[in-house]
This record gives sequence, structure tokens and C-alpha cells, in this order.
Amino acid sequence: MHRRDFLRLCGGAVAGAAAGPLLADGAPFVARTHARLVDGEGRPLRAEALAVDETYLFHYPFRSTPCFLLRLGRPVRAPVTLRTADGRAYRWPGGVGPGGAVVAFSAICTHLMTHPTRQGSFIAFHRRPTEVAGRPYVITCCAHGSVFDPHEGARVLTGPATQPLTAVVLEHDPASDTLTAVGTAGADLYREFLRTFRRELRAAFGRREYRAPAAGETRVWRLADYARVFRC
Amino acid sequence: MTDMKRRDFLKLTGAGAAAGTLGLAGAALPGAAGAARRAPLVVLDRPADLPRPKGQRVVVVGGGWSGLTIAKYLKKEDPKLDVVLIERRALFLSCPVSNLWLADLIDLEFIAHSYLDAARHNGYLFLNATVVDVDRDSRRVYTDQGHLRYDFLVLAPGIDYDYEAIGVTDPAERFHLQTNYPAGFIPGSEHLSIRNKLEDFEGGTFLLTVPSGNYRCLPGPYERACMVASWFKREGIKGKVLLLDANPDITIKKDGFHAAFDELYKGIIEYVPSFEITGVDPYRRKVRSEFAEVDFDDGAIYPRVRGARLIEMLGLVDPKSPQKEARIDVRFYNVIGDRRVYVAGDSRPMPFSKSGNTANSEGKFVAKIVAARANGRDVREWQSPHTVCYSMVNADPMEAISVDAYYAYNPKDGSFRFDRVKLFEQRSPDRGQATLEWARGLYRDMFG
Repeated sequence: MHRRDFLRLCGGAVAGAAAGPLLADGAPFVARTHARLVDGEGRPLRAEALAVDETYLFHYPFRSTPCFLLRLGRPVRAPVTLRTADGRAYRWPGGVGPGGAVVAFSAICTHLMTHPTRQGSFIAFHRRPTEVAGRPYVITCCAHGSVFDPHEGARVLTGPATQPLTAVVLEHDPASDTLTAVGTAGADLYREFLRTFRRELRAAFGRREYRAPAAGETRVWRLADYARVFRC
Repeated sequence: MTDMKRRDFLKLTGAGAAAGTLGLAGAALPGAAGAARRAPLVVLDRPADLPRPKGQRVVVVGGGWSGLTIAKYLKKEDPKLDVVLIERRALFLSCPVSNLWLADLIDLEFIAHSYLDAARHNGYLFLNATVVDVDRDSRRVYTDQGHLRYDFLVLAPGIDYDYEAIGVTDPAERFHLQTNYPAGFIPGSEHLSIRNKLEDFEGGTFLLTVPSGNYRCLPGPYERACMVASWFKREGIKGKVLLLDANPDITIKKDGFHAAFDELYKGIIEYVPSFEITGVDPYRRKVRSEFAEVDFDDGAIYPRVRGARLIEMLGLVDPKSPQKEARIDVRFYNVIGDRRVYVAGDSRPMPFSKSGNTANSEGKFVAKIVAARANGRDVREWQSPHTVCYSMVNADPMEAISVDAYYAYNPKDGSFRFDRVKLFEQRSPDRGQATLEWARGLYRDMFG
């Protein structure tokens, strides 16, 4: 995403890393701490190094809140206007980086918060059609059957979810080809997520760390290396 | 009853009644012993000990999957509503996935949950009480813990068993049957007893039955047969699971279940279709159909189901309903002619699956309707419940099959049919794991 897009998304009211809704009309964009995406060795991840249609995972905007990172091989349809379950509209500007194909979304299902853990992931982007989705190249939550299209801001295609996966706003630096997460747009489930899963998150991420903002750097994993991916 | 005042007590029995002539209530009074008795008129004629309502009060009766969801989503739809959930059990035990617990695949904590957590996380009141009556004129619900007024009332009392429909009419026989061979589809002691039976079973014929009609959890008895058979395999028990089905074939996911019966439990599960039970001798352990009599050593006998007796007691049964379900607007759930009273969950007359995900998804819609009407608005568009139903067919490794379906409404004749049905009948370990995540998600929704 170019800086210009980012400004448009935020209604021209970007205020650094300050948290809080920025748009005057209440559109659900939240600017958050900046976190540069890095690989397993701590080196800044280059967008060009991402395999096409491979699912990657990183944590943002908190150290325990998982997101998908995808470099899509099929065209992104953007910008699109999406709505949260409570009817608030927001604009998803599309991807960033090479060909505008790099996108990121929260990996917490907006239906009942199913999400990847080290024990396994029921929600994932699948290149091959799953039985539940009946089509390829979509994000499918196997637990309750929600299907999201990452090419259109992770809008709901089928299933019980009533709002898109939360979009993670990325900035791409063309000079270094690096990616930085700077905010989220759409549903804000984080407070509920941190409360609901606090026991598991404390055990997995640390007693206080789990609710600390992902700031500075955040590690990117290949989802298949992070967790067993369940198909449905 | 320790803090009940004498004045309340007299009111309870009808104004002016002499204490010494009382039945239940009188027995608690000094000097009542030996006196002539008659039935009390009202159980407890005083307000239940609840905080004063802060807004319009919605009383939800029944803390199953339906009532829990409705209570939570009423508060989400309109936080100003004062919501009270009344449930007679003090502990929630889940019927969905309980078959996994019978086979020792999950522990009891997985299916046991706290009503207090549900109430405190979601901002409503939990009243642990039994509803005994409703006066729709004064909009008052009577419970064994006192009465309370409502602006809107949602009844979600679930099912009761209909033993008469399987030819068991004698109360002594019925109690013997219920106590010794419980159905295991109304959670609580029934499930614990069945688990204990399995632990104690040393061999012979373990009987399971499938009723006709729209019974609770269509695949439940077939899944249970698989889980009991897996237990026999694991424990090396020389036993047979005899599954007598009143229906001509497996009622749902039949290819997946038949495959499991044939491939995993050959020689353990004996499946007998079209066996409509017409009588049971619980003392000599025999079940009869019109054509045959079968012996069993132990088991769980699932009779037909009906709408909860509370619905009948309140005069809300649809006279045309063969299962004594409520007469309501089948799209918007209110009792005909009374938009302040609703019936949801397994006492509804619509032919939806009587299952957890169905009740949960329906509950969100019912909450939307009630919250809208409480605010002078209305919901005009009908919304289908969503049935997502996993069945574990293998225990080692855990493998499941599932179905995902909606319903379509035909406005011409007011009927419903299945819609957008997706059957996943190839058992898989991934689906086995998804079964657990499905349940965790729903528990999060109701209790978190």
C-alpha cells in the first residue's frame, strides 16, 4: 500500500502510532503500534521472498493475536467497502508490495474466534478446494464453516460469520522491500479475544506478554511450520 | 425456605387457609403433623429475591443452548434490557459431544460449565429456580423461588420424554425404565449413569434405541453406538451394541455411519432398522415391536420426545402437534396473539434439527426479534437457523463426519425444508479435531 492509500484509508487523519478510531465518521480503522515483519533470524522480511499463495502467520497488534500474511497469486479486487457486524462501513484498499498482492488479515475467525495455535489451526488459506468451501484460494474456518475471500478484504463468502476478518494495514517500503504492520481495519475483537483466551495465551506467550502490543518487530512463520493445519 | 416469612407462607396456601390443613407447606410448620392435608394453591407467593429491574425485563426460561444464547444476545442487542435466565439445574452439562465423554475421549470439565460465568460475563441475572406457572395477564412468572414480572418472556424449556409412545404407560414401569435404562438425551444424571454402566459392563447385549419423529439430536444415537462400540474395543469387552431403530434407515449421515458400522465395528454393532418399540419390560429386560421381542443385558432406551411439559402446562401446545410442541408464529417465534411471549429451542414446532448449533443460531435471531420489539421496532425478514452437526465415529484415532445445513421457508403453505445441505460423510481425523473446536467455540459463545 502506498502512503497515499494509507492516508485515504484513514480519512487523512493519520496520527502516528496513536491508538483509537481515526475517522471522523466512525469508520473502524485503528492506528496501532508499528511492527516490522521479520523472519526467523530476525532479518526484515522481504515481500519478494514470500511464496505466492503460501499462508504465513505473524502476531499483531498484540503479541498473542495471530494474523495471516498472504502474497496472492490471483488479482486482488480493491478497493472495496465492507461492513462490520454492527453496520459500520470501512474501506479495504487492497494489497501492498509486488503487484499489490501482499495482504494481511487477523487469523481470528469473526464468528467464534477460532484461531491458529501451536496445537493446530482450523482456520487457514487453502489453495485447493476444501469440502467446506467448495472452492480454492479462500480462507476457511473448519470449526463452524465460515469462508472468507482474501482477494476482497476477507469478506464473508459463506457460513455463520457476520463480518469480514479484520484487515491488518501494512506499509511497504519499496526501497527495502520490507513490510510493517501499522494498524487494523474492521471488526475489533481483540479485547474479547484477550479476555476469552487469557489462560491459554498466558501459558503460550507469558503472563503479561500476551497482552503487550506487538511493537518493533514481529516474527513471520510459514503457517505449516507453526501449527498443524486441519483440512475440512 | 429458611427466610420465608409466615405471612408469605399463608399467602402461599391461599388467603385464610388454616396452617394445619396444608399439604407440602403445612408439613414444614410446627404442629402440622397428622392434620388433614390438601394441595397448596401456589408454591411461593412473594417476589423472587432479584435486584429491581433497571429496564424492560426479559425473562428467559431454560438454560440450555437456546436459552443461554438468547439471554446473552438480548444483552448484546440492547444492553438496557434487564435479562433474567431461569434454570432449574445448578450446573450446565452439554448434551452435544457428551457421547465423546461416554467413550472417555474428553473429560467431564469439557462439557460441564457454570451458569454463573455465563451470567457474569454477559451481564444478565441467573436465577436457579424451577418455573411452576406463568400468568400472562399480569405478566408474571411463578417459580419455586418466588415470582417475577416480565415485559417479554422467552420459553426455551427443551424436551421431555414420551414413554407412552413406546407403550410404557404404567408409572412404576416407566420409573424403573427411566432409572435403570435412562435415555441419555437430557443431560445430567442420565449421562453419568450411562457412563457408569459402560464402566461396569462385562459382556452381553448393550441396547441402544432410535425413536421415530423429530427427536433430539438425529445422529446422536448412531454416534453413541459408535462410541460405545469403541469403548468395547478399547476395553476388550465381549459385547454387542444392539441398535434398534424405529426408522427404516439411519436418519442422517447414513453413508458415513453405515461405513463406520461396517468398517470399524463389524461384529460389535448390530443395526436393526424399522424396529418401532411398542412395549418394554424393564424388569425382565425385553423390548417388543409388533413383530419381535428382543432381550438385552443393559442399555439406554431412548423413547420418543415431546415438547417440554411446561409448554403443555401453560396451555401453549399446538393441538395439531404430534409431539406436543408449542403453537407459535413459525417465523417469528411469538405465541399466536401474544407478542410478549416466545417459544424457542426444542419445544418449537418447526421441523428443525433439535440440536445445539441449531438452537444457538436460532437464539441469536430470537434475541434480535425480542430486542427489536422491546424498542418498538420489528424484524420483518425471517432468518434460517444453521445446523452444524459433527458425529464422532471413531475413537482411535478420533474421526468424525458432519453435516452443515440451513432451512427454507415456503410462504404458500407455511412449511420448511432443508436448504444448502452439505454432507461430509468421509470420516477424517481433521474433522474429529474440528468436532472439539466446534464445541469449544459454542461454549465460548454461551459462557464467555
